[in-house]
Amino acid sequence: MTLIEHRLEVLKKDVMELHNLAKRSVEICLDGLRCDDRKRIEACKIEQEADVLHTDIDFNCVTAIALFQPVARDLRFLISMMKISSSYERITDLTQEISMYECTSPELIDKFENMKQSLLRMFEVIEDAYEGNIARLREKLWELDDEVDKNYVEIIDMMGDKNICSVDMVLTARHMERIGDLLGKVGARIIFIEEGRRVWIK
Amino acid sequence: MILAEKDRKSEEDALEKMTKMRHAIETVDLNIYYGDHHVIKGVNLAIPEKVVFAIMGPSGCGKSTMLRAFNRLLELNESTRIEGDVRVFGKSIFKMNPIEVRRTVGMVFQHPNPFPHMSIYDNVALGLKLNKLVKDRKELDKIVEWALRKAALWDEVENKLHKPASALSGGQQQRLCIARVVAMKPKVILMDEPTSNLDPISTKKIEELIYELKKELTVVIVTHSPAQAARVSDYVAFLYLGRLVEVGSTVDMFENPKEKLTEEYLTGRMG
Repeated sequence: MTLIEHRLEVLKKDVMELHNLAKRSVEICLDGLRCDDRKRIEACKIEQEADVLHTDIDFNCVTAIALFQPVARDLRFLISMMKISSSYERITDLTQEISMYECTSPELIDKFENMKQSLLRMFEVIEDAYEGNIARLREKLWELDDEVDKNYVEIIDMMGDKNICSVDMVLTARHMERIGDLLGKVGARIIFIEEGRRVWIK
Repeated sequence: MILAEKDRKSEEDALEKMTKMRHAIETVDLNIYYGDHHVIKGVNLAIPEKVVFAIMGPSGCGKSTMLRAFNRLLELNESTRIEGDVRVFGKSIFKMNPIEVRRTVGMVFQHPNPFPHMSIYDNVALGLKLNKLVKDRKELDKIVEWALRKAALWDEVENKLHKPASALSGGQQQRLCIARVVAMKPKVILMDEPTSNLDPISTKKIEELIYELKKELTVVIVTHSPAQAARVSDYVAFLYLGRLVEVGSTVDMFENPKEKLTEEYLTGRMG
């Protein structure tokens, strides 16, 4: 293994770790919404760990670029890892905020659960892509993000119909919808690494 | 149009633009042999005018051989056989007088090779005098100054024009060689790894000079350094074992090469 290959391998492991942190933060964020304080503490801890890991990844990408002057796939990989890492870090910020909110409406919680399940499936599709399975990646993420968006619109409509005035709920829906967008961008970046194509996933 | 399509379109545009531009040099099914050794294998290449065109590839792939074919230097070697054609601005170089070819297509070599005992001035003036290209001393002075300015050397040597060229540093000697070529007002300059023996500061000066030169002429540079090709060139050709593997705009080639071999070479995974 060449020196740069070794560095890229280490970076990929770090990004996978950050991916797992972001995924875990999505898994538990709705527990916080149900006032589970232990999960709220965990969400805060994940957010701090993600910050540190993101800073390390960013630093390691910059030094690898400076030391090896990579081109082609190596360059696409390093630039994309910086952006992917930034997306994951942002996801943990959003989930931490969600976990600090409160929701007492079971109907809304159900809808948020639907959004969460779609987001978790997006994480799984991305995991497959990291393993090299990028066939129809764009389409799969696009479909799942559509589900997230559909639920978002239904939640906002439902709040209007039932006269629920809650900033927490609007922000929760908005943040989850944003997480879907961020995961779409992660997928687009993976396609860029593998194929050198710039694609747009919403 | 989605971005993926836009990407493909930009690559197609770059290649189309390259094909449509006026060509300074063209090779048509070029094959070169050293005795029985087949060095260049059926290369078809079109180099647009007023660009910096880099030819890169690993040692022994035939880069320098191909460059030397462009101004008929190869023919000085008796064991060399050339098949196919090389055209300079549409004209076959094999139907031209070799002196005329070399005046149109100048060459800068890997090792700076000024005439060491001649003065800086005479190094630049020699070609003009031998070819009787100037009327008088006044015109000669003017062209020598112009060439040294073009080579970004004038400010460093204007007070010691009659000192021996050997007194200059390696980087200055290489720029003097460029001035010597520029003085003959060629349309194309071939550079065979012109900075491989120079320190980073001299390398930077030569690279800046290459960038300036392309405003008026075509520069074809052979380099084994992908980083240098990326810095200075507009287009790149990748040669491997005498074959042309890939050619395209530098940006496309370094971001997303089409051929696996090119990718392996650029990322240092070859061999």
